[in-house]
Amino acid sequence: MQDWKQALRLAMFELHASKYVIFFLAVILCLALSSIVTGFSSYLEKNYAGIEFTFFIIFSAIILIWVKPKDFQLNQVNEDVMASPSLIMLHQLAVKKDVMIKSRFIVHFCYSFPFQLLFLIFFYALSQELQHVLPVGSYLAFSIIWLSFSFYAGYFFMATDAGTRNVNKITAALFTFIFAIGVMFLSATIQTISGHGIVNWTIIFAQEWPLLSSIISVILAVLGFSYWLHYMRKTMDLVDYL
Amino acid sequence: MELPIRLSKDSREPIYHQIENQLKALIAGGHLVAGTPLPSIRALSNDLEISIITTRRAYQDLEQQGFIRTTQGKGTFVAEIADEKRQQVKISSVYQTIENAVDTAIQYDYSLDQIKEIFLEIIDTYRKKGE
Amino acid sequence: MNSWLEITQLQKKIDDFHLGPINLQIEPGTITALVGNNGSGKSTLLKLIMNLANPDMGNIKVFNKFVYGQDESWKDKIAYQAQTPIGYNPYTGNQLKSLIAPLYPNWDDTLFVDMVHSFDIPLHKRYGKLSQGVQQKLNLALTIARNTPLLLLDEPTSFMDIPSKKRLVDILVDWMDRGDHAIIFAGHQAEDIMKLADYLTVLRNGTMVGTFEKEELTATYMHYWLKEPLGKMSIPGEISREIKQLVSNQPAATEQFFHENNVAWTDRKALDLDEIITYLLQEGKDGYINDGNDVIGS
Repeated sequence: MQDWKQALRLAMFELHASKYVIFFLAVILCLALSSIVTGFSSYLEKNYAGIEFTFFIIFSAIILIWVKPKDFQLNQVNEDVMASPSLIMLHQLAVKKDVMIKSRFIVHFCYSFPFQLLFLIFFYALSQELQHVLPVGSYLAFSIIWLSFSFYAGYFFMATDAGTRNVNKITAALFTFIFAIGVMFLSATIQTISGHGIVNWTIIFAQEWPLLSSIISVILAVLGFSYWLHYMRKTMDLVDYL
Repeated sequence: MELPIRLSKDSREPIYHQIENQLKALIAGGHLVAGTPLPSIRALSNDLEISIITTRRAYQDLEQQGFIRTTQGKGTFVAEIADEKRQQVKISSVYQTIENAVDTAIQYDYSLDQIKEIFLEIIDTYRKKGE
Repeated sequence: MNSWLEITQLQKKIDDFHLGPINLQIEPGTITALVGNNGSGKSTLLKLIMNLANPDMGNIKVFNKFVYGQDESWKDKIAYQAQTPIGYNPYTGNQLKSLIAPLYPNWDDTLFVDMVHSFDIPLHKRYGKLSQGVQQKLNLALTIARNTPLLLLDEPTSFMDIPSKKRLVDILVDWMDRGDHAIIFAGHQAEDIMKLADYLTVLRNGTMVGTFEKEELTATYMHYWLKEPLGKMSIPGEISREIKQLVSNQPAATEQFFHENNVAWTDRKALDLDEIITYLLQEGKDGYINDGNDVIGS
């Protein structure tokens, strides 16, 4: 508990100094909602594929990499290592490694979770088709599926704060680019093979097996999230911040 | 407080010894009276641009010989010294200074007789000044 | 005496650069300067002490705890100032202070305020907007005021003017006297702050030349002026010579030789610290014997 208290105190400094991120997130939220609400009926009818990418962007919180002010973005520590400047700063102070990790989690959580939650709420409120397809109970399951995804997949981007070896700005940019292409390719493949897009599948899961899919998602979230914390700690033990 | 100590790094006399002798001279000569606070080892080291190891050694020797005393938490002070000791220091300091001068002269290849001549000449000048 | 920092057989390889083996012990009350050319491994050594990187071999103990161990309680006993701190830019001096101060149980706010006044540091401006000199001063205030037993400073005065450097030396001397403290700093050989050191640890391209007490060094090196040009004779202790001059790192042996061979000398002078360091940093120069080829008049 003491650790969490300290982690929160330290995270507050970054949250306070980078509060303009909220403005960018709000803009992105509006853009995402307007495109998804208008596109949703055609998605359901004609298997329109763009929606997957929007979901991915929002629930992986990959946008945080781009919208953060420069001083908080991953930065080159040396030729081979990129890491979060905030983490480097704490690393040189009397802060335990576990507290550093917890404080990275808090920052990531504060910027991603409310944003994702608002997205889900507004999406449901604004889209009558969605309300028609998913009653409130099923929509809750749908939300749990996607919020869980944000834990087991999204916290990868938190874990990169600790630094990655043999990565510089160019390879990092290349990596995110390939990652995005990969995601689009994957969702397109799933759509072609199974006849439904990923979002559509999660709608089906939420309709048919709301409890089961929620439970499985939460388990995956817990497992995935603890993996990323562990991964981050291991990275911190291995990387040379020279 | 800054002390009028001048160190010669070129001298054969070790630095700690130079500090010791000069402090003794200052105390025996009455420039530093009993009870005067002395700079801390770190402060004196900084003034003289030397390490605390050297200064500490000089202070330790002086304390052993009763010239200074250290009070826990308060610092180091000039100690009360007996007249006899005062005289001793004066004498040995004068001897030391003349010995140093002779050393220098020998280094410049003067013979002992020549040095004696110079010495007497200087004494003469002083005598004339006095009259 | 109990060491606060104990480094044994430390080695680290980074690409082509090899640091170590390093052996170093820091005792309370002492100031140690790490000296070496650029890229000699001073910063790397400090970062290894702070557990910012993993050694390949050897051990580092701070207050008897291995720095890479699970127990991280040593961290609030040591304050480290990096050469160029990362992550400070978006914060003001005030914010940085309220971030850092609670992490250190002995934070000395009076000292912090004194340093801020003395160096005229604006605390309401963002760190990134300050000049390099002011950044360095703010950093020093934020580091020294942590008032930890052990203080590590990496090139602390590289952007400071001479009066500020003097003030810093006074602050550090004062601070050393106000409790059990020890300082390790990395610095350039010609810097004023070198005078502050009790011990010099000399690094040459990652190799540790040695740790020397300052007076031990100044007593070891002597510059002689000779009456006659030197012949082809090789002289014990000599590390460099000109026609009628000689520098020795074994003055006793050199003078003995002069005496035995009737070499007359007119003067001798101790070397300045930075001259001595220059000799120590020149590869192979410490055991250098002149073959006499460049001697005229023999």
